[in-house]
Amino acid sequence: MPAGQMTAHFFRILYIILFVFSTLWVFISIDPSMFDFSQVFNILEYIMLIVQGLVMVMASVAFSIASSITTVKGNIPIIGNLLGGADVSGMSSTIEALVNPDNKFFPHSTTTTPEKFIEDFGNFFGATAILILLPIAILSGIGFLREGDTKLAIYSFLGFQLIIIIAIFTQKIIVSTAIDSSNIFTMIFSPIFTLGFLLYLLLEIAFQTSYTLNILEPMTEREKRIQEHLKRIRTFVPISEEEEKGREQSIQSVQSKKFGLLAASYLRELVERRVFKKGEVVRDAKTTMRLQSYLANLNQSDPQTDQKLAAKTAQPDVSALLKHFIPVMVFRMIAVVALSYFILAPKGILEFLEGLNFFEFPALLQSLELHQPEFQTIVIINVVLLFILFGAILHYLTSGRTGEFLGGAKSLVVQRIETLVDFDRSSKPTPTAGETTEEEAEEAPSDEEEEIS
Amino acid sequence: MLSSRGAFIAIGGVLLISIGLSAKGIGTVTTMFPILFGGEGLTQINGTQTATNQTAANQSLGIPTGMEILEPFHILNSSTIVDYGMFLGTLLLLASVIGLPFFRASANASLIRVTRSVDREKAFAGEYVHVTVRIENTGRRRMDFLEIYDAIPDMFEIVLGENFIITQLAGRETKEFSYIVQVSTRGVYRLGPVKVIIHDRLGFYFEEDVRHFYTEILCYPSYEDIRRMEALSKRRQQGKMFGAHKTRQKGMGDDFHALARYYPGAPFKSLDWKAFSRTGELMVREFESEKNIRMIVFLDHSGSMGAGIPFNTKLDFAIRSTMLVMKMAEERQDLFGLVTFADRPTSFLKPGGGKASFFQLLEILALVEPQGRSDPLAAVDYVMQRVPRASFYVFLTDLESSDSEVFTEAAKRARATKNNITVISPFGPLFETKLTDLTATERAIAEAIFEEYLGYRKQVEDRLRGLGVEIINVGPDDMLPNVIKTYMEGKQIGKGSV
Repeated sequence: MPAGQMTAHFFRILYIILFVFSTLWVFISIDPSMFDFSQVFNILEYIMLIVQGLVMVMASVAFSIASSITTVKGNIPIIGNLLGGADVSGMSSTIEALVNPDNKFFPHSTTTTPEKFIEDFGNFFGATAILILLPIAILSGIGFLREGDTKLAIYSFLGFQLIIIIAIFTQKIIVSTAIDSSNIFTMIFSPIFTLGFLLYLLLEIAFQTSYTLNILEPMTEREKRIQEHLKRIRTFVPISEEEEKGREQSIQSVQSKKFGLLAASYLRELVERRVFKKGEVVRDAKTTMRLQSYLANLNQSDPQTDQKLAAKTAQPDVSALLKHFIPVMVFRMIAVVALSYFILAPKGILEFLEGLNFFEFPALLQSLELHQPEFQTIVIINVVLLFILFGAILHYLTSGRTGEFLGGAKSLVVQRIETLVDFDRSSKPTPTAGETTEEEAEEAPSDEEEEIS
Repeated sequence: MLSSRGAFIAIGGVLLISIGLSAKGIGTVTTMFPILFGGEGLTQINGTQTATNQTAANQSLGIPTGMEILEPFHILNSSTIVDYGMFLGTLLLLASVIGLPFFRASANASLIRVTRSVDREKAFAGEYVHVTVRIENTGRRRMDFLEIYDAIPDMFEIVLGENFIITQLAGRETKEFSYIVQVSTRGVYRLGPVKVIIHDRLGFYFEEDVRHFYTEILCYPSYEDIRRMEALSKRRQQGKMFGAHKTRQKGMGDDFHALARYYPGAPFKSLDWKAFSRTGELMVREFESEKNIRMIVFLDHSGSMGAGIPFNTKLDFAIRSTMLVMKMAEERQDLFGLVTFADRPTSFLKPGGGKASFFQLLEILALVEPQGRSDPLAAVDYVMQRVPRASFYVFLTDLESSDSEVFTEAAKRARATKNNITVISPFGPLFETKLTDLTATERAIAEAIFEEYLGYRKQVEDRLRGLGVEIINVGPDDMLPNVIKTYMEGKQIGKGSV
C-alpha cells in the first residue's frame, strides 16, 4: 500500500476512535429519559386537546349565534341580537368540560397543571432532539469518513453540541455542569468542559484528516489515473487496422476514378461520418495514434515526462505530514485551552500579574463583574483583535521583505513567440501589413530577388 | 483572509457567546418576577401560598403562585447554559484566530515562484503541446497547503495530465508538474495566468495571488488537408496527376508539342529524321516546357467572411483552401504570394517559394480574423505597387462586404497590367444553413433569399465577366476542390507564368 494511502487511513482511524469515544461520552452524559421516544407522542395529546378545544369553542359560538337569531323578534337588526342576545353560558360550560380531567368525553384533557405541561414539553423536546440530531450527528460522522468532506464533520459537531445544549436546557444532563475555574486543571477536568472540548477536538481532528485526505488522496489518485492513461495510450492498437485499410482503399479506388482524388477523399469522409457514423471512431483512433507518437517523442527528449505528467515529483511528503501533525495539534490545543482559561477565569491571571508587582489593578480584582459574561466578552474581543493585529503586522513585515526581494515580479510577464511576420498583439492578434509607401514600393525587390531569398 | 470554514467557526463562536449573553440577560429578568408579579421584593413570596411541593419550589425561585408558566425561563438564570455557551463560544472563536499570526507570517504567496515552459511555441491545429509548470518556494518556511492553477485558453483541451496541483512545499523546495493540451483552432493564444492559493492546514485561512504570467502559443491552421493530400499522393505513386501541370508552351520539356521547320541554330539532336524522310524537308521536334507561375491569393477577411457554422465559416474554408493550394504551389516550385485584406491590406507575403515562405504564410493565416468591410481595390493597389509583373490573382471573397463598383474598379486595374483574375466566391447561404435541415416554410423562405442573393451576385458577375474575370461560386463541400482546380488549370494554361 502506498505511504500516502496509509497516512490517510491512519488519520481516518484516529477520527474513528475519537468519534466513537465522543459519541459514547455524549450518551453517558445525558439522561436516558431523553431516549424515551414515546415522549414525542405525548405532545400529540396537547395538540389534540387544542384542536378539540377550538372545535368546541367554535361550535358553542355557532350555537349561541343560531339561538340568538331564532329568538329575535320583528325587525331588530341581527347584529344587535348577536351582541346583546348571545347566550355564552353554553360556551363556558364547554371550556370547563374541556379542561376537566374527570370528563371522559375528552380523553386528552388529563393534564391541567402547568408543571406537568412543562415536564411533558421538556421530555418531548429532549426526545425529539435525540430523534433528529443523533442520526444527523452519527451519519454525518460516518459520511465524513467516507467522503472526507469537512461540512459533514461540522454537521456532526453541531449535532452533538445541540444535543448537549438541549440536554442542559431541559435539565436532562446527568454529569456535573459546573465549570470549576479555580485553576486551569480543575477547569479542564470539569466534566462538561471535557465533553465540550472533546467534541471540539474531534472537529479539529476532522479538519486535520480532511487536510491529509485533500492533499494526499487526489495526488495519489491522479498519479494512478494518469499512469493508467499513459499505459492505455502506449498499448493502443487500432482494431482491425488491416481491414480498415482494405475498406478505405476499395472505396477510394472506385470513387477516385469517378470524381478525382480530393473529391473522393471528402466523399469518403462524408460517407463515413454521416452514413456509417464511423468517422468519430476513425478520428479517435487517429488522435490516439498521434498522441502515442507524440508521447514517444517527448520521452525521447525528456525521460522524466511520465513523472511530470503524473505529478509524481510533486507528491506531498508523507513523513513531513505526520511529523508536523502532532506538534501543531498539541500546540493549538494548549494555546486554546490556556487562553480560554484566561478569558473565562481572568482573576487567577490578574492576581499572578499583580503578584509580579508590575501591574496593579485592585479595583478590577475586587469587582463582582470579573466573572460575569459581559467582562469575558470584552476580554474575548480584545484577544481576538490582538491576534488579527499581530497577523496584519507580520504580514506587512514579510510582504515588505519579499517585495524588496522580488522586485516587480507581480507585473505582467508575457513570454512572446518569435514570429516571421509582424503583428500587433496589444489588442487583438491581427496581422498587419506595413503602411503603403512609395519608398517601400521602390525598394521592393523584383521577383527574381524574392525567388532567391 | 478567513476562509468560509474559518468564518463558520468564528461565527459559531460569536453565536454561542451571544446565546450565553442572552441567557444571562433573560435569566436576570427572571429575578424580577417576584417584584413584577408579587410586588413584595426579591426575597418575598406571594402570601397566598398553597401547601403543594411544587408551589414551595416555585416560591424558592421567587415565582409567584399562578405564574408557574414562567418557570422555563428561570432555567436560563442557571449558570450552566450561560457558562457552556461562553465556554464553547470562546473555544471556537479562539480556535479560529489563534493560527492567524503564524499563517500570515509564513504564507506569503509572493514567495512562490512559478515558471512555465512549453515544448513548442508553434503548432498546427489539432497538434499537442506539452506544458511544464515549475513551482519554487523561495522562502524558508514551509507551505502546508498549496494550490496552483495554470489557466488555459478555452480553445485548448487537456488530453493528458492536469493543469493544477495541490501539494505542500518545504522551504527552498521545487516541484514540477506537466500536462498536454491539444490546440484546436488557429490563432495566437496565451497560457496563463497562474493562480496561487495558500491555505493553512485546517483550512481556516487562505491567501490568493494571481500571477499575470503568460506564454504565447501560435496555432497554425490545421494541417489535416495537406496531410490527407500527401497521403493520397503517396498511395497513388505515379498516378493521375503526374504531368498534369504542363503548360502549352514549347520549350525544353519532355512532352512532345509539335514538328516545326528547321531554323538555323536549331540543335541537331532535335532533327526528326523520320519526318525528313517522309516530307523531304528538315523538321525539328518541339517540346512543351514546364513553366512556373506566379500566383497571388487575395484573401478577404472582412466581417461577412466570418459567417457560418463555428470553425467552418467561409473564412475557415478560405484559409484551408489557401493553405492547401499554397502547399501544392510550393511543391511544384511555383511562386506563391498572399495578401489578406479587409478595409485595408492587413498582411502581405511577396510571391516566393520554399519552406520559409510557406511558414510565413502559415503565420499570416493563423492570425487572420474576420473584421470590418472589404476593400479589394486597396488590396490590388497595394500588391500592384510591390509586384509590378503580370501574375495570377486568385480572389477568395464572398463579394458581400464591398460595393460591386469597387470590385469592378479593382478588376479593371489588375487587368490593365495583364494580370489574370479568378474569383472564388463562397456562397454565404450555403455556409450558414442546410436546406435539408429546414422545414417546408423555412425552406421556401430560404430559397427566396437564395434567389435574391443570386440576383445580386449575377449582376456583379456580369460586370466582372466583361472584364475577363472568371467567377466560381462555391459551397463548403466544393470549395477546396474548386480552388485546387483553379490552380491546376491556371498552371496548365500558364496564367501569370514567370
